[in-house]
Amino acid sequence: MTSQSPVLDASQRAWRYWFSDGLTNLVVGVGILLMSYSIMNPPHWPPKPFALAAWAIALVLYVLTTVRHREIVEWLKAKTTYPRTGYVSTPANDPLCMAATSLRGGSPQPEEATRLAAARRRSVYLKLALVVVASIGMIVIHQSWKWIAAGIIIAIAMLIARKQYRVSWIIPVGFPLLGLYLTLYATDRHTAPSHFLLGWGVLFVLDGGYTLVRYLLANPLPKEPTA
Amino acid sequence: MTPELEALATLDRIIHEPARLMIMTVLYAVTEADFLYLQRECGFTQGNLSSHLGKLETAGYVLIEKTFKGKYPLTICSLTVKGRAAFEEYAQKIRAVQVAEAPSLTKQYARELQR
Repeated sequence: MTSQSPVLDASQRAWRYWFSDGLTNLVVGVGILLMSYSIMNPPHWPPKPFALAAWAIALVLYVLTTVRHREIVEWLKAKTTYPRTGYVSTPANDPLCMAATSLRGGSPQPEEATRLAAARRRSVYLKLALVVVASIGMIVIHQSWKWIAAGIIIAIAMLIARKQYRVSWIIPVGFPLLGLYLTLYATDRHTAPSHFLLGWGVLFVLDGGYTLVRYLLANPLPKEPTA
Repeated sequence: MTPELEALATLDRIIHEPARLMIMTVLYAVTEADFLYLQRECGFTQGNLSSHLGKLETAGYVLIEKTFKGKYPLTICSLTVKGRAAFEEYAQKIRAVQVAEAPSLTKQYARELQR
């Protein structure tokens, strides 16, 4: 039994539940794939109708998956997750920050909630800093080893995120491999970034798909409706 | 009776029951949850959860609504303002019972018994 407040534990479990089916990463991955497709296949003059339409559809779908991410994930969850393991309110903001706020005023262990919220904030900043460092490195460094360095840095960021966002080992292991592949085989430095993005999307789709399959196998659809 | 002991005597018996305390704790931490989620989190049977939720609803602590997410019917449960306030009051009273130095005091007591 942990010494953590049961309220905070329930809050953290609800947060992790959102990521337990892999649908979030799957939608993020599909969005990144659509973006990389748009970048890799820009319209040329004179425009070919099919290529132009495919580019436009990919771009619109990418914007849609970004702007309506939560709604899309909710819609998918209503079909797969809620009938299997139930519904809990979506983490609107940071649930730990919400818990810290709601537990103020002499209620159970507010200092613990504040400490955990601060730890989560530090973790988010660290992840962001690592991704920014990797992105800047990819832009300013013109050596081929930058891809493996970027892959390792992003893998570290994903390792930090792993527990909090239920990321499988596919992403932390996949990024260095993606970097290694680009270091060895990427010859055109203009197309390599979009290939890196493509690999990023593939890794997220693989991670989301793998988590979803594991979730579906572990939680078959109940035969009788509950309640 | 001292005011401290009297505070314990006035503990909310609706919340004090372990199964209902578990339900209240989960619902306090989240905005809302459905029947199936609560059942899985607390490890109750359908009948057990229904019975405890019914008592909490009767006390005005929990709001139960039947709704749909897409085509899937959901029984959504959430704490009312009264329920949230009652849980916080209960937690405050229970906190007063916390013994900070319990292990060392127990050891000291055991040593004195040995003498």
